[in-house]
Amino acid sequence: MKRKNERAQEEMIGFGLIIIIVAVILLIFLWFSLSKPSKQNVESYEVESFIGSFLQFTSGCENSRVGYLSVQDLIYYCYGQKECDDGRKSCDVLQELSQGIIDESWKVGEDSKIMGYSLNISVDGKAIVPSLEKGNQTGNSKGYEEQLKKSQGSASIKFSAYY
Amino acid sequence: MQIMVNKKSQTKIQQTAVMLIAVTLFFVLVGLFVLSFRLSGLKNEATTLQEQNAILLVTKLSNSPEFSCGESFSGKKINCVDADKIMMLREDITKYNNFWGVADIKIRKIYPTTDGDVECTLSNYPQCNVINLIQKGVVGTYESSFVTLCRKEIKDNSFYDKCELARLMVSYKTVQ
Repeated sequence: MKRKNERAQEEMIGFGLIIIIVAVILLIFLWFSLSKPSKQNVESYEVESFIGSFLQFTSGCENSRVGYLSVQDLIYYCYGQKECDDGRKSCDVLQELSQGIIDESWKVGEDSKIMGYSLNISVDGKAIVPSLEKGNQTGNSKGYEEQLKKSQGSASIKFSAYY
Repeated sequence: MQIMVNKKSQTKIQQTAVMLIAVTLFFVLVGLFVLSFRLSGLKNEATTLQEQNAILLVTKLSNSPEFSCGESFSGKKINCVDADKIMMLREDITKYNNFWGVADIKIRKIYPTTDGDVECTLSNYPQCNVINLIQKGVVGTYESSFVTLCRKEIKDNSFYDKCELARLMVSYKTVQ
């Protein structure tokens, strides 16, 4: 009689344990299903809008005839090896400005979703300023290339953001 | 003999009671799990819809009549926001509070850089870097796109176009 009772008690303990384990598993599932994955991607429209806005930016390079040049105009000025009214070389202004804009727009680092970037500006297939690159060029990237056509030549502005 | 039979019956009744409680608890937990899973799916769907709406809005907003530069800045520009127009719109924004259906709309100047955040008002414009257009004070997630923020500047008694780089930020309410 005593042995039978002990067996029944053991069965009850076993059943209780199973209930607890199942409950814990359910709670873990519940926690995972409710936690949201963090968004870590760069969207294509961000890269596309960046190039468009970058080209329309008013630079500090002034020309007495046309006023302050946009980056778009500055690219062709640089291609023609022209200087700004204040004596600065247009290519130096373009390079400095591009670097400043990209550094502020695409913060590269471990805390950021951006792991690296690259910007290439060329006219008629020839790079007019050295390529701007920073960070790691990972396997995941979003890029955009803007083509400009003018009588002076065909310009290509290619930007890629790595994440 | 009678006492022993009674005790045995009591133990069996207790065992059945415990079993019934355990089984009920188990089914209640399963029910809760299924319910929360379905609810979280609905919440995720609602947040995704809000997010898609914000993305669509952020990509189109800069070209809408309320924001766009039109042809005021030497020719037609895309992704161009007229800062002067926005400052005036900001003064009368109550009419637009529910027009775009989002929690927040703001424009943050990126380049040239400014030390810290200075909110734009009519008294400090353009020496500022954040234009808060709509602020509903709701905790949300931002979607943003780059825009050219243009305004008219004066130099030697003549006007010229000054276009800077900014981020147009739209916030949507995440469903908790």
